[in-house]
Parts: sequence; C-alpha cells; structure tokens
Amino acid sequence: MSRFDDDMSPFRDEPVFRALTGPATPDELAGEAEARAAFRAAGSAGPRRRLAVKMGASGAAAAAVVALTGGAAAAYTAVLPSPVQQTLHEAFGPLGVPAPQPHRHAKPVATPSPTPSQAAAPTPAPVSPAATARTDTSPPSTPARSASAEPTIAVSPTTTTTLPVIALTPSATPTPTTSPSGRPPLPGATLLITTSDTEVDVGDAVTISGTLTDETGTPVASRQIVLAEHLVGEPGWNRIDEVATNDAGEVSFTVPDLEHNAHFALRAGGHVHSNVVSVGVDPTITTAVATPAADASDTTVTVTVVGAEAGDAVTLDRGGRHPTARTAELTTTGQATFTVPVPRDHPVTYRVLVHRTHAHLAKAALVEVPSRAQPAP
Amino acid sequence: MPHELAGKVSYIATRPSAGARRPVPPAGQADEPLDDALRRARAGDEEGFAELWRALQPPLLRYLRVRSRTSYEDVAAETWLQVVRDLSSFVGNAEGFRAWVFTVARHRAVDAARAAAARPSVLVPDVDEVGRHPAAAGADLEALEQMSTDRALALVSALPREQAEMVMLRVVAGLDVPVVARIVGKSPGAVRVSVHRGLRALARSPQARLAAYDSTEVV
Repeated sequence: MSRFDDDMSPFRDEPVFRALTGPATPDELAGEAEARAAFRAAGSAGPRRRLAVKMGASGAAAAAVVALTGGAAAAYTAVLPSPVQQTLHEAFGPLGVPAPQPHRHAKPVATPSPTPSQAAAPTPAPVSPAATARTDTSPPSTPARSASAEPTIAVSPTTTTTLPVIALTPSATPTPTTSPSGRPPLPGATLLITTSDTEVDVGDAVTISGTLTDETGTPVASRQIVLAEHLVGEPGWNRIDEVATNDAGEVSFTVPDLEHNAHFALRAGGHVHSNVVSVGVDPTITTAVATPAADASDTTVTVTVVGAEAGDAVTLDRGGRHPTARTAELTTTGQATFTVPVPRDHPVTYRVLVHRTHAHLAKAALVEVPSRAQPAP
Repeated sequence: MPHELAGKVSYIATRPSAGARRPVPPAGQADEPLDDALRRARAGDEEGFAELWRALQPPLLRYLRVRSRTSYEDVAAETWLQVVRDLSSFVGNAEGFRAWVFTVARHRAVDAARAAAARPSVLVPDVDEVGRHPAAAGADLEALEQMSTDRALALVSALPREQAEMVMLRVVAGLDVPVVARIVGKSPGAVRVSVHRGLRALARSPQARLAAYDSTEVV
C-alpha cells in the first residue's frame, strides 16, 4: 500500500507519529450506536432521502446547530429534527439516542411549571391513540395558555413533532403520528429570532423574541409559536413554551435561571422555523487566600465556582514567563484549592481560569497573594 | 458533490499496491478487509457499515480536530449522515471510500467554518472537552494514551494550517499523496514536500520528545 510507502518510514517510530496513529480510544468509538441508527434510518428511507435535513427555512439554522454542539450523541441528534430523533430513539430502544425530554432547568415565566411527576403523568390534553405512545416525549401542554391564545389550534403533545417531517419509518408501515398537525402551512413566511443576550452570568435570565411575517412582510397575528431549547452537549431539542403572536406578529419568551449553554429556536408550525440563537453561561468565581502561619513558606488559594460542575477543570497560573500553571478539578462543593508560595517582598497576582465545558463558558479571575512584608488587610 | 470524486478516486484506489514492504499498519487503519465491509454495507448490512465506521471514525475525528477544531464531533456526524445517505451511489473500493469520506468531511468542515464566520453576532462556545478531561483526571493507561494523542494533535495544530491538514490526511487518514493532493488542491510534489517538512518539524520539536508522557503538572 502506498499509504505506508517509504517517504513515511523515517518518521514511523517518532512519538508524534505513533501517537497520531495510535489505537482508537473508547471516546472516539463512542458514537457507534448513533451511526448505526443513522445507517438504518437511511436504509429504510431509501437512498434519496435527505437525512441531514435543513432545520427549517434557513440552512443556516442547521449549520449553526452543527457548529455549536458537542458530544457524540448530541452530534448526531442535534442535526436531526425531533421526528427523526424519535425514529432513532424508537429504532434503538431505551439505550440509544435519547428522545427529546421535558425541559429540565429553566421554566419560562407565566407558565405553570411542569414538574417531573407531572411530566410522567398522563397529559390532560386530548390525544389520539396513535399519539399516546409518545406523550412521554413532550412536556405537558398548558391548557390555559393554549386555550386563551387560539382555541382553534389543538395543542397536543405532538406539537413538537411538527417539523418538516422526513418520515424515516419504513414506507410499508406508515405511522399516523408524523402526519401534519392542525396548523395550516405558511408558505413564504419568515420567523425572525433575537436574544437579549448572547452571554449571561449563571442564574440570569434571557429574553428570546420573535417576529412572524408572511411572504409579503405583513405580520401574522394569533399564530402559536413554540420556543425550543437545545442544551449544548445534551441530545435533542426541548420544547419550553408556546405563545401566540400579537397583532404585530411578535412573541417574547423569558427564560429565567440559565445554568447551561443553550441554543434557542422558534417554530411556527407549517414548516416555518427561525434561525438558532445561542446563549452562553458564565460561571462566577470567588477566591480566598489563607493567611499563612508566621514562618510558613506556603499558603493556599481557595477558588469557589458557581455554575460549574464537580470535575470541571480550574487552572491557576501567573502568566508571563513563570511556568506555574496548575490544574485542579472542582470538588462536589464547587471548590478547588491550590498551594502557592508566600511571596517575600511583593504581592503576586495569579490568574484563575475555569475551563469551558458544554455547560458553561470559560471564565477568568485574578487573585492577589499578599507578600510577607505586606500582609493581607 | 461526492459522486464526482467517487468516480475519480477509483482508478487510483485500484492500482496495484506496493504491498510487500509495508509494515504493520497502525490501529484503526487496517484496510483491505474493509473492501468486504464496504460491499456488505452497500448491500444494506449494518454490521458491514459498523466495521467501516469503527475503522474510519477515529482517524476522521483526529483529522477534524485539527481541521475543524471547535466542532469536530458535529462535523464528523454530518459527514457520516451524508455518507449513509449517498452510500448507495458510491462507486469504488475501500481505498476510494476512505478518500471519499475524508473529502466529504472536508466539505462539511468548510461549510461549518463558513456558517460560523457568516454569523459573527452569534456566540460560538467552544465545546471541546478540555474542561471535562483535565490532565490530572486519571493515571490509567487509557488516559495516558489519550493524552499523548491529544498532545500530538496539538503539536500538529501548531503547524501552518495547510501543512497541518496535509499531515493529517496523509498520516492519520492514511491517504495516498495523489489523493491528498486532489483533496487540498495542490500538486502531489507540493504535498510530499510539505508533509515531509511537517513531520520533520514535529519530530524535532522539543515537545515531541515529551509527547508520550504526561507532563501537565508543571509547577
């Protein structure tokens, strides 16, 4: 095989070369189940089916999702609309691609908070027998809201499956659950989305707004708009809330208490979707320097992080030419402790860096360790 | 579009192999058995496809970590989705398939980069796993292996961008020089020289000597 012909041979024993071509790691092979499911889905849909469908009117929406998510499972599911995920989920059973789940951490204001127990309980909304099988994939609808908003629209748990459906079920056994909901199509309509912030401190709220216009640019009133959220690194999109547009074609959702990097998109049904906007979460850092004993040569810096998880990496370094970077993991109480020398003459400033994860952005803070000559105030 | 390439690569892929002097291939790159897996996958056999996936996913991820950095897992998933979609129209053997997969991956990486660049107002959190796997996490062999691969990929990433990509396609993807040349749009001679220089630079770098060790805990 010319792949290993002689121009490579001088390098084959180099550590770098061996590391690059080293055996596969479990991480690298983690996505096999999803890949298999995609293969099965493509096979049953025929070669011409587009599996990596565009998530709505704009291809940028799908591209944005692709650029923003991570994790092997999420990588496959993030580019698939919910019905496809559902198909993958069904195809793979309880262990594979998780089906979309009820929202877990943030509840929109002015909406009765569905508790997990409620989510597991039978939903009060009228559902067809065919739809019953998937009631566990959607949060309970909010009858008060949907009733007051637009009585003619049946808000059932299947509202999250009104994406442009590429039916991946075998054609021999069509399932009625993927048929269009009661929403009339809106050809040429545009659904714009904006976010009040692209970066918030942990626990803060964000406002997601949308404007729905038809093909002539006229606002569309009284149309139900669903806010969907995708937590970065987690599989699937979660339906958070649904409200009707006002006379100006506008909707606004407040998502409080953000704790996890998230993407948001709006859906109007009838194949109309917004782009995706993303909101990153900054953890907050507090630091404390222990007062050293009189003759101690070391002291400790304790870093407390809110908005990060146990095991997340924290680095302490002095920057510049001091090769002092050290990395520790956060404990379950959100703390990391570093031992540093007590400076003799001048205070020393360290930089604390909380590394980014799926759940939050990177965040840095400075901490000054007072010198022995200038004890801490 | 993959179809044009599929047709083009097959003549290279099917030429006689240089065979005999080839050493044991690195893990993840065993290939001839893949001809059979490819045949089965094209006939709809899931096990055949899984075999292809297991052989190509690790080098694909490594290539994309250098080429696409922030969103490599998603680009890899996009790549496979396109591959399973178009598999029935693919023509060629395992070598050609390997070239096709990496060509698709490169297109998807370019798309992802373009989408990210076209949306400057949208925050793009870098969701690589650095925070999840601090170096201090474990001392088991598996973790050490992972780290040395990570370190090697970081070293390659420090090369000039085009050179880094060519090194990955040649060394990790295991593609022939002419195939790499076509994928990156350069002459075979340029690829050969660039890859050689890149590997020399890597081998000489002081960090490379440490590549097999975990030296993160610098005090």
